[in-house]
Amino acid sequence: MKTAEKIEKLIKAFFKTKKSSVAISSQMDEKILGDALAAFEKSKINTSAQLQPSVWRIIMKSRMTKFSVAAVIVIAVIIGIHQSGNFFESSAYAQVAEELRNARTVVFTLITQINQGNGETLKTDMAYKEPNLLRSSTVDGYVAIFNRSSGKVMSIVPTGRFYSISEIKGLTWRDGESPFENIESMKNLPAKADEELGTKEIDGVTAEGYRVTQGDAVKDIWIDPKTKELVQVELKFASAPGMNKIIKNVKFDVELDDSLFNMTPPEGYRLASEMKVDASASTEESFIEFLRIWSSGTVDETFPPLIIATGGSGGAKVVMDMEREGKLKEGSWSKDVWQRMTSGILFVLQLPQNSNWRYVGENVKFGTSDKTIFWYQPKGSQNYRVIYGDLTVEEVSPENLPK
Amino acid sequence: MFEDKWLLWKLKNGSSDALCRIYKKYKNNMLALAVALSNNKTVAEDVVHDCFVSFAQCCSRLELKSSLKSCLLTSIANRVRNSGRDRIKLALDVEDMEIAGPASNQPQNLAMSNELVKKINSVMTQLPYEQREVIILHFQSGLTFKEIAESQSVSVNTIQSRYRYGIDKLRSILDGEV
Repeated sequence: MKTAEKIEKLIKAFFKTKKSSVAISSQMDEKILGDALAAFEKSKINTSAQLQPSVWRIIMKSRMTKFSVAAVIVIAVIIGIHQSGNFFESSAYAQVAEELRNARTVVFTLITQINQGNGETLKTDMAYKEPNLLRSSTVDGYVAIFNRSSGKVMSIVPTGRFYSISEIKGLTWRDGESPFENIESMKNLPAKADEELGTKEIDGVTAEGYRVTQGDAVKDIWIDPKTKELVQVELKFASAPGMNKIIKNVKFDVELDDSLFNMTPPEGYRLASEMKVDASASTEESFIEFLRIWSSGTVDETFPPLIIATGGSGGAKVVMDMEREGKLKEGSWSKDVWQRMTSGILFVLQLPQNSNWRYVGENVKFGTSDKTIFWYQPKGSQNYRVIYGDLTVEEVSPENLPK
Repeated sequence: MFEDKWLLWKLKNGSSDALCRIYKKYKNNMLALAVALSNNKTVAEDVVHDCFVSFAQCCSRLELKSSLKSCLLTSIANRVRNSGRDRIKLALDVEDMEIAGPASNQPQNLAMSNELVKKINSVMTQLPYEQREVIILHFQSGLTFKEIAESQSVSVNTIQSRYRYGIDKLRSILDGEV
């Protein structure tokens, strides 16, 4: 038997083994069927509301109307063939989606509006090399290099000429917040769009828009119809209102040297921190510890302006901006403190979408017991956990949450 | 096949029993595919949930071009792909072994050792997603290359190439070890 055949046989046996070892839990079974039946009943009501039998009969009494209706049905069937079930097919869109899917490298500019604090906007240049390398850099020169296969992240801070390395295990990012999410958002575009958006002027180009909804994200893809090149992608997330992203200046399959993603620090840079964090060990206590450390390190003893991953260039920028503005106490955060802080932030980064967490701690001073700084709904609980400015925690019913 | 047509006809005429029957018939296939693609049982169950609820919502308007099984499995594959590959890949560290290992009380698993299952599981995750997806859809779900190509709006040649590259890569990694 040839080796390829042996491998195929082996893989077949592997899947047979794997298939037999999984089963849906009875609880999930009930939920799926219950939700599906509810959705089915709802769709029946909608369908019948759209086609009231009495109206239908009245229309069909007329012979002329019968022919018209028949013609409409024929047209609808033809449209149905081309749109294949409400999905809009466009050669420009399909071409861009296919090119992105097959791209080995992609460079683009990411503009993120954060849904915390004053809705600050971050602009970052990104370079992606398949399958696991990503480099982000801000206009201020803060660089972060991500290696997804090793879980390593290196942040380079040019103003202080230092760098940090972190290795995070067991981390599950929420939708929309992984550094790789933006690139995957583009590479995973379906072959057909859900909706056409008409045209819009972007940077002097009259672009055609297509909307795609994938899970939590609504993606508006704008394409130059003349060149069939991608002009811009706009991302919005249902579970994170106010956090909007724009992807532009997209180029794919450009030559990206491996040295761009090298984890060797630039010459003359000092190591500020090196940490290994197990994200699965992050708890509410870790986050409270993070808030305590942060407020003790700031001159006015206030909590952070926003919660953002410290491993990325965005997080480094927040810290360095505060340092430059003299808002941090000198030498306040040592290497082991960074590790504890990162562990705390990871608790928030891993909260599921439906935990409805909210951070409102900007400008709140440590010890202010009557100010709420954070709340979230633990899995399976009807109530919320609320953290106050004195870092005490209380369980609060949804109607008693701060407005 | 005839049963599926009958079930679909009943479904379009408002039979919730038909919906239950379809779920029971294909739930294991859907979950097995979602687990194989995501390597995470929690993600997989969520995908099956979202996919089947969505199917229930639009089944009255559904016009199948392929079999019901192919339609459901394609929908699962698309949802896993869209749910974020990095999220799934990062989740591997903590959950893949838990769901990948064979249950010891199942006689059919005796043919493959636990170590080998873990090894292949690990090697599979090293494949580019597109190649892994084709191999899983073909071997585990039994879809033909034509069905996979149609579901992804690419040519059969592209799918066959992805499959060949995937098998070659598996061979090069596993060669000498098994």
